[in-house]
Amino acid sequence: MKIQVVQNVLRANDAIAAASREHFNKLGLPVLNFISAPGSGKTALLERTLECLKAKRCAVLVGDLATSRDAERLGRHCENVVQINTGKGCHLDAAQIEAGLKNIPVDQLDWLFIENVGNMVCPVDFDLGEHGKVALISTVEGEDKPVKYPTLFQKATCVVLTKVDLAAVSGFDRDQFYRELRQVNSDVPVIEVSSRTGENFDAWLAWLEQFRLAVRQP
Amino acid sequence: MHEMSIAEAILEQVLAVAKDNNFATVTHIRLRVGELRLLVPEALAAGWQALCQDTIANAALLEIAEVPACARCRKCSHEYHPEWPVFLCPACNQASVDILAGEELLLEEITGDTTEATQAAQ
Repeated sequence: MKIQVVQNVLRANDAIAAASREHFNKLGLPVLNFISAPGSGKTALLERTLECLKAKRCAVLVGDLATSRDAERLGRHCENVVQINTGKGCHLDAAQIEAGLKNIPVDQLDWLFIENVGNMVCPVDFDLGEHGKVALISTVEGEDKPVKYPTLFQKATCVVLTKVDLAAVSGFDRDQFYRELRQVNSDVPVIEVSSRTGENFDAWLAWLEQFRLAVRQP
Repeated sequence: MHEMSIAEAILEQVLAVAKDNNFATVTHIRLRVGELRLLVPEALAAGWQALCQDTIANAALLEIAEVPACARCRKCSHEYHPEWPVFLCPACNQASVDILAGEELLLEEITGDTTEATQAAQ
C-alpha cells in the first residue's frame, strides 16, 4: 500500500522555530544567529559587542559540542548567558533554543544573540526562529570561503569579516574575497572588524542598531 | 553530520504514518530533496541504516528524488537555474535571488504492507 504524505521532514523543528519567531516579534525582540567555522571569532565578536552594548539588556545562547568555556567568556560581559551543549550534534536546533530560553528573562531584553556551533554547513539548514543570520569569516581562514560554502553566504543578512588586524600578515586577498562573495550574494552588507583592537566597531554597532529598529518597527 | 538529525526526523514521521495505516513493514520511502539542500545522500543513508535497525522500516528502500534549483533575480525578475556555487543571474550578472525551488526536504511517499497482507503472504 502506497501512502502519499508530502510533508516537510523538518516540520517539527520549523514549527518550533515559527512559534519562537512569533513570540520574538510580539516582544519586538531582535534575534541574530551567528554562524561560522570554529575559530573565526564569534565569541570574541560577541564579547566586545556585549561590552559596547552595556546600556542594553542582552542575552546569549551559545552552542558547543562540549564545555562551557564560551559561556564563561561571555558571562564576564553579560548576565544572561546560556551554554547549550549539543553532545555530538553539529548544529543548534529550534527545540534547544526553546529550552534555553526558559533560563533567561526573554520579555525583558533588547537583544538576543545565538552563537551557533562552529560549522559553516549544518547550522544553515536549521531555522531557530531568528530574524537574521550573521556569517563570520576571518581574514586568516582564506578569502575563498564564500564560494566554498555558498549557502551560508547566500542566506546571510550580514557578513562580518573578522581579524582585519591580521589581514596583512595572513596575506588575505580582499579583491578576490569581495569578487567571489558578490557572485554568491550581491547585496549582503559586509562589515570588516577587529574584535581585538575594536577597529570599525562603530560600523558594526550602527548596523546592529539599524537592524534592531527594523525588527521593533516592522 | 546533520544528516543524522534528518534521518531521525524521517524515521519518526515514517513510523507515525506506518502506525496510522497499520503497516507491519515499510518497504519503500520516497524523499524529495532540493538541489540546494546541504544534504549528502550517502551520509543520510548511513544515518538511516544506523537508526532503522530495530524498526519495521529496517528493510525499506530509501529513494531520494532531487529537485532542481530555480532562482528569481530580485533585480530583473529573470528566472534561472543557479550554477552552484555561484548565484549570478545570466541576464543581469547580479547575485540577488529569491529561491523558488531547490530547498525542499520532503517526505513524499511511503509504501508498506499491512499486517493482514503480510500474514496472507506467509
